[in-house]
Amino acid sequence: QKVTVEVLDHLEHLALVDFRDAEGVERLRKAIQFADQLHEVNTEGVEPMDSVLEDRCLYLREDDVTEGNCTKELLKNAKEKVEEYFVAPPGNIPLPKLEERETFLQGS
Amino acid sequence: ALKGGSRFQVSAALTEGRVAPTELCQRCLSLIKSTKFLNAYITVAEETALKQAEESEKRYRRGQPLGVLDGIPIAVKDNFNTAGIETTCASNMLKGYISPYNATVVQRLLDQGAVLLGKTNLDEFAMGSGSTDGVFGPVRNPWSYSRQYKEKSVPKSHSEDEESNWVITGGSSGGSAAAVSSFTCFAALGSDTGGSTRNPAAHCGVVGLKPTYGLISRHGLIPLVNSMDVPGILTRCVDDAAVVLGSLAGHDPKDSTTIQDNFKPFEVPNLTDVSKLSIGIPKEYHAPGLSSEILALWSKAADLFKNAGAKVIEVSLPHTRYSIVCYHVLCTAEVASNMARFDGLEYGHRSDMNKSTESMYAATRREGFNDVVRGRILSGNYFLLKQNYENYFIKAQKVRRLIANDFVKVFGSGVDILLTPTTLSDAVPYMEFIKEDNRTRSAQDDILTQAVNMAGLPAINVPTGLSERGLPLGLQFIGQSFQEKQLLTVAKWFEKQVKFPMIQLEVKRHDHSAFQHQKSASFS
Repeated sequence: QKVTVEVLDHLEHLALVDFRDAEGVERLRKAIQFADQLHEVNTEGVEPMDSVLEDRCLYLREDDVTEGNCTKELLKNAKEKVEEYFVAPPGNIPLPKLEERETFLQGS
Repeated sequence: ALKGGSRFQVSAALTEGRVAPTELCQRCLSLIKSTKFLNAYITVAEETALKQAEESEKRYRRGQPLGVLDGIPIAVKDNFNTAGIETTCASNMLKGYISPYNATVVQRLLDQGAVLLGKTNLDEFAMGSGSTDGVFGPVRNPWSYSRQYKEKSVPKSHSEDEESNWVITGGSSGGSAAAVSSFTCFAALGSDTGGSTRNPAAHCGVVGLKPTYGLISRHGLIPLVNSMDVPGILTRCVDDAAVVLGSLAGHDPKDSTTIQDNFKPFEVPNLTDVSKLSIGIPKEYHAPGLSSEILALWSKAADLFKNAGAKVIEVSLPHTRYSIVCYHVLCTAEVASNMARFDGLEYGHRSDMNKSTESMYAATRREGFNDVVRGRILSGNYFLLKQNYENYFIKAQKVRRLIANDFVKVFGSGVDILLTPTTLSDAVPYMEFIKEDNRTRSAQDDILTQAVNMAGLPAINVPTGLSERGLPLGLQFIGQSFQEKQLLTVAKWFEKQVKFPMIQLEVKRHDHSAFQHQKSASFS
């Protein structure tokens, strides 16, 4: 059983997205089962492919400023802001532990 | 079926003054209102569209149109940024988000004078194959309201039919496909990551072009899978697709994944002699679940080429069946990364939860994303865990190379173009489609289109015929990298041969007069 509550809890922390219910957890289990079919393929000596454009060189451009100065536009879509800052709630506070936070995984 | 050179028929009408851009725009806007039940549009930009049409009219009066696209009404899938217009990706996460900029492809269309009518509906964040999973509801296939479909459906009870019998558009660019199919615009932008332009094109009876990866800029296209996404083009004929391609393709300094080669826009040649052509029929595309109708159509198409003198041979793409699994892992992994930007701080939905950044992000994402999106994020994170990275993500990347190599081998053996089905069957009724979950459906429906995205190749759906139920069936041509001209040449030849029928849409006009027959695709 590789999908333990610890793993699920860890994923919720990493993704900052919750499983919500048994269906969510089952969805993951099915996804893993589906992905396991990959292991049927023999990939001995095969290099992983990052991009179909791998045979081309990524190019550089001149380090010239061509656009910007759009602070007002960019701030328009933010809900909480002060002057030219986006306002975030206090950081460095980890997500509550499994027992303490509201998650379906509690009591699993 | 439209004749004429590589320009919209209506373009001629505009140039000759037979119809004015504002009139054209009004007609389309009116038709959008009459076809509101299709739910193809999320946002209709009526005011700005009319302004654009007015500007176009001024240019035509001066005898200085910007080009073939000047004054042509178009629609854009709602995952492309459009300055000053809401861009939602059919998600609560971006409801109310007004783009501060235009995606490069949108800008290029506007620079040519195209009139942007609105943003079309899709599956949330382009995840899905039905255009049924967005927060604004599902898109209805216009063919559900066609005489061709109604004639073939077994009448149950009188009016209850239409409500329960309507079929899906396919997805995820269903809104764009429906918009083009129902004549509310002349071309629409979609996106294609696993088949999202070609699939709804097949179900809605329109041309759906997926260009080579790297040909068209993704700048401003809200990304799903960075290594596979491409903007897609939906039109009613191959010539029109070439015109739109001509205005969009080419290097964009804002997208480093666009190639720097010079792109030359072209008019699709009128091929008369196919004897030098070699068409490959990949046997693995005879997939389980392929309807006998489509199989027959595919066979007929192969014969069409053979009888016209082309070389038609069976080929093999042995890793085809792993494409979906491979996609599943790579897609969820990239999604896990791409969706991380939605945290409520700079744009989009923000939860009221204020205890800490992490809890705010978590609440925002819980409130903003639907089950499908959340599911893919979690799966993706699983495959990217240290203990899984090698066995899933890297493994999938290796399988990707095998899939891409399959195509290289086949094209290297002298085959010019591949001919395959686009979908397993004609469009299914919505009530039937929703019986299976999104992932299952996507896995089933993407099987014929997905491998093309793995390899980054160009491909096009050409509407070919009608099914027994009176619904469109399309076939897919797959070309070689950056050989769009050859691909479209063959597609146009085929289009001419099959003469796909025009939809006989029965729509009540906006002024509530009796049912009207929408005959012409051109307004000339």
